[in-house]
Amino acid sequence: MKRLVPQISLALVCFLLGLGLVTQFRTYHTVAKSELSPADEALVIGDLVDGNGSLRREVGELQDKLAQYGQPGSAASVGAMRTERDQLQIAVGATSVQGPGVEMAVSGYVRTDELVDLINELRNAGAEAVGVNGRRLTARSVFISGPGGYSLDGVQVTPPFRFSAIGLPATLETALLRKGGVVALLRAYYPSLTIDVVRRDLVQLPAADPVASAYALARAAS
Amino acid sequence: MFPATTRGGSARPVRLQLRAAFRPGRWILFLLGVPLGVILSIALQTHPVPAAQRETTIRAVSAETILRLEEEQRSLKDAIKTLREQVAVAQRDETAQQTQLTGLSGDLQALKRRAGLTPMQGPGIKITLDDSQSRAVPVGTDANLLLVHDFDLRDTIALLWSSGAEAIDINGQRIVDTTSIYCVGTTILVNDTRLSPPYVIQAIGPTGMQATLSDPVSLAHFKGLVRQYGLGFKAVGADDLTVAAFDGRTNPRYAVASAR
Repeated sequence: MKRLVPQISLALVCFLLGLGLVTQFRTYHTVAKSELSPADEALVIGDLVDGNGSLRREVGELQDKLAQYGQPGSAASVGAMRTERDQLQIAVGATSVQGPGVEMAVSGYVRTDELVDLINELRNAGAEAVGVNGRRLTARSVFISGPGGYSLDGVQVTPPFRFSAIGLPATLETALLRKGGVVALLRAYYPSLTIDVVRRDLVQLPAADPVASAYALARAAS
Repeated sequence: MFPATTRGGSARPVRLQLRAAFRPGRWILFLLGVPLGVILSIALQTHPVPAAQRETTIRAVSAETILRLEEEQRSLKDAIKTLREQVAVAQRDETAQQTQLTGLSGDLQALKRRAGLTPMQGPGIKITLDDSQSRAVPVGTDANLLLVHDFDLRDTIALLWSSGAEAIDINGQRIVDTTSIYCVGTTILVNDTRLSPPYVIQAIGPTGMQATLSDPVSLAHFKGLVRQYGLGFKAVGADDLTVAAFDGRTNPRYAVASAR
């Protein structure tokens, strides 16, 4: 018993000494374990910060670029231009059209300028598209009186002259039938003539024949 | 209870123990104890501000920073990749749309010319019609005979179209598909715009228009009034006319395109 106590004390002291040494060593070992020196780490961090900065700028620039596409100029303009084109095609007679309006039948021959007066009356009442005997009229449409009858834009037309006009039916009808109006005058001049005017929910007109221009050129914008 | 025994019995073992403690073998224990004490005290003393450990902490933070920055780099690169793909798609779409726009732009220009929305230039004829300026009109003459009427303008324009005119305006009002030439009282309206005499009609088209206009058979009624009551009529050829663009409404409200 007397010899055992000091031996245990010695073992205990040695254990603690070893523990202390290992602890100290491990502390230093951990520090030495890092692959990079502090100076290199600073370089790496600096590079990464700079690099990420320029990557972030690149992201920003790409986002701006992406935002520019898909802006006016593209999809919206295409839509707007299509709408305008469609409207103009209706207005110039480039397409067949339909809509509410009136139909008027003139049973026999009247003078060509009287036919023009009737068309003028319809246009004045807001007709957006006018046709005679199934032919679409344009501003340049002309009736020509020849030995064999009338022609409209080079195509023979014979009575009854059937006018079709697209517009507000009530306005068109009122304009045609007003007191002292063209229809009233024609009825007075030609007692045997019948002129019937009927409102229609749906009037259909074909496209007009395209006409070429040889003399008139678009004036260059100044 | 037993004071003497206790006092005498206790002194001897203490002395024995001391002597045993300072035996030579125990010096090793003492010598080991000193460095242990030193190491422990160093370890304990340095613990609150351990230089090595502080460095370790800093370096652990740096390592963490590097990891974080590398993570950020990865996500930025991913974002760039995605954005580049999106931009490429947008550019393809844009190109397609540009092609469409170019096509549409061409269509629109042609349609606008046809609709009279473009000023036109070319050779043609300039016709002036005017109310009577004559003072030698017999008393009691119908005042209507001394004025230019809407139908006179309509007849003149119909004549011009039939002799090949391509673009016409009256006092700057372009004649388009929807144009009406209308009389309200003594005022003539073209495109719902009031005009006042003289009425100057410009028509671009072939030179043959002038011969047609000069033919006595043409506009015979108006020419008769010119001779009789001094109304104005003049038709002059021109090498270079500019016919105005239509400035009114073109958007249809009732007509819609139909499939045919």
